[in-house]
Amino acid sequence: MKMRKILIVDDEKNILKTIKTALEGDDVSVDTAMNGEECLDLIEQKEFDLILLDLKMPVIDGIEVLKRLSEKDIFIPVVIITAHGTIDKAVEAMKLGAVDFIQKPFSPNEIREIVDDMFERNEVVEENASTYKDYFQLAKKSAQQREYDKALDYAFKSLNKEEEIPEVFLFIGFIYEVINEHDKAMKYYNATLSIEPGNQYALDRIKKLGDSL
Amino acid sequence: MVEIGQMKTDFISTASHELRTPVTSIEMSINLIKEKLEEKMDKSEKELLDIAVEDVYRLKLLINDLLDMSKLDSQNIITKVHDVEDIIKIPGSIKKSKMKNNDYDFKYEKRDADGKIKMDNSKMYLVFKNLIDNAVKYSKKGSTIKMESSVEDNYFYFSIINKGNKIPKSQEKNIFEKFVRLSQSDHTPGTGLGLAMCKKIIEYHGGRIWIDPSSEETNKFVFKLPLYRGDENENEKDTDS
Repeated sequence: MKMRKILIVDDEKNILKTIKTALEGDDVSVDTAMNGEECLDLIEQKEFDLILLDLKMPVIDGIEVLKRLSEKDIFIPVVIITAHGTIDKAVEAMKLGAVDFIQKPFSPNEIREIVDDMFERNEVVEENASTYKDYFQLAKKSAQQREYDKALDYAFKSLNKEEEIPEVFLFIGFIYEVINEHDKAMKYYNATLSIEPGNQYALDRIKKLGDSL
Repeated sequence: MVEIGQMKTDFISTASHELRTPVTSIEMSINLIKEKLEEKMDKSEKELLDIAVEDVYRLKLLINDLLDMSKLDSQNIITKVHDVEDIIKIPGSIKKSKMKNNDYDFKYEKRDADGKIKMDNSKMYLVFKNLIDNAVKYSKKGSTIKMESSVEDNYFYFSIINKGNKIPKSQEKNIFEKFVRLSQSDHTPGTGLGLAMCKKIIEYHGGRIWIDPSSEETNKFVFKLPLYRGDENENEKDTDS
C-alpha cells in the first residue's frame, strides 16, 4: 500500500500527540504543527495527502490556513477538527474546500474512521458508484474541488439511493449556503430536521440564516 | 433576570466547549493504552483501566447533557404549531438508528391521530431520545422495548415500556430530579440529567410525565401533552416558518 502522509495541526500538544499515536503505522506517516504558520512552512517543504486542521488557533487560525492554501492553488484534502460552537465556521471552511468535520471529543477509532473515509474517497469513481455512500463521497470530492453544481448533482443521486440520511440533506444545505442560495439552504436544513429533529448543525444554521434574512 | 439567565447559559456553554479538548486527550490516551497494553495487564490493572474508560465516557455524556440542559430556558425553547403526525414520527426515526446494533427489539404502535400540537420540535426530540436511551440502558439484551403513541381527550400520549431493573416505588417521584440515578453502584452509563431534562421540557409544553406502576417486572414511562386548539391564522403563520 502507498504510504499515507498526514499532517495534524492543533495548538494543543496533547491532541497532537494522541492523534499521531492513533494514526501512525507502517503505511502512515504523521507530521505535526502547533500553529498555522508551522503548518504552512511544512507544506512548503513536504508533500501531504491529508491535513487534520483545528480551526481555533492563535496568530494564523485554521480558516486563514485554508485561505492561504487556496491562494497558492494547493489542493490537499482537509478534515476540520471542531469543538462545539465553531459550526459558524463550517460554511466558510466549505467555501475553501474543506468539507469534512470531526467534533471533539472523539476516540481513536472515530479519528481512524474519518481518515480511512477520506482515503477511500479517492478510489470512488462514478462508473462504479452504486450506493448512497459512493455518491455522497463523489459529492464531497466535487465540493473539495469547489465544483458545487457537480456536488449537488451527486448529492441528489445519493438521496435517490437512500432517502432519509440527515447528513446528505445537511450537506446540500451547506452547499446552497456556500453558493448563496439561502432559501434553498433553509429548505434542506429544515428537511434535515424533519428526519433528525435534534440535529444541532441544522438548528444552528437555521438560526444564523434566520437572523441574517 | 433575562440577562442573568443568558449569562448562565453562556457560561455553561463556554465551560462545556472548553472541556471538550482535555476530555479528547484523556479519552484518546486511555483508549490507546488499552489497545496497546491490555493483553499484558493483570486483572486488577484491567479493572482500573475499564473504570477510566467508563468514567471518561460518562464525562462526555455529562458535557453534552449540561449543554442541552443550559438551553432549556424560555429564550431557547421556541414552540411552533405542528401536525400531531410530526411528533408521532420522532420516536420512529430514533428507533431506526438504535436498531442498527440489533441488541434490542423495538415495537412502536402508532394509533392514527389527527390534530395539532404546539411544540419545540428539537426539544421534544431530546425527550424521546432520553426516554429511549434510558429504556435501552436499563433493558436486558434481546428484550423488547415497546412504545405507543395515541391521542385521547385532547391530549397526545406517549409511553415506553422496557423489561429490566425495576425502579423502586420509593424512587418513582425523585427519579425526575437532577442528578438522581436509578443506581449509583451499577455500571450503566448516565449522568442523572436525562429524565430531569424530559420533565422540564414536558412541563414547559404544559404536559406531565410519570411512571405508570403497571407491572412488577417492567418500567413504563408515560407523558402527555395538550393538543393545540388555537385559531387557524396563528396556525398558518407558525407552521410556515
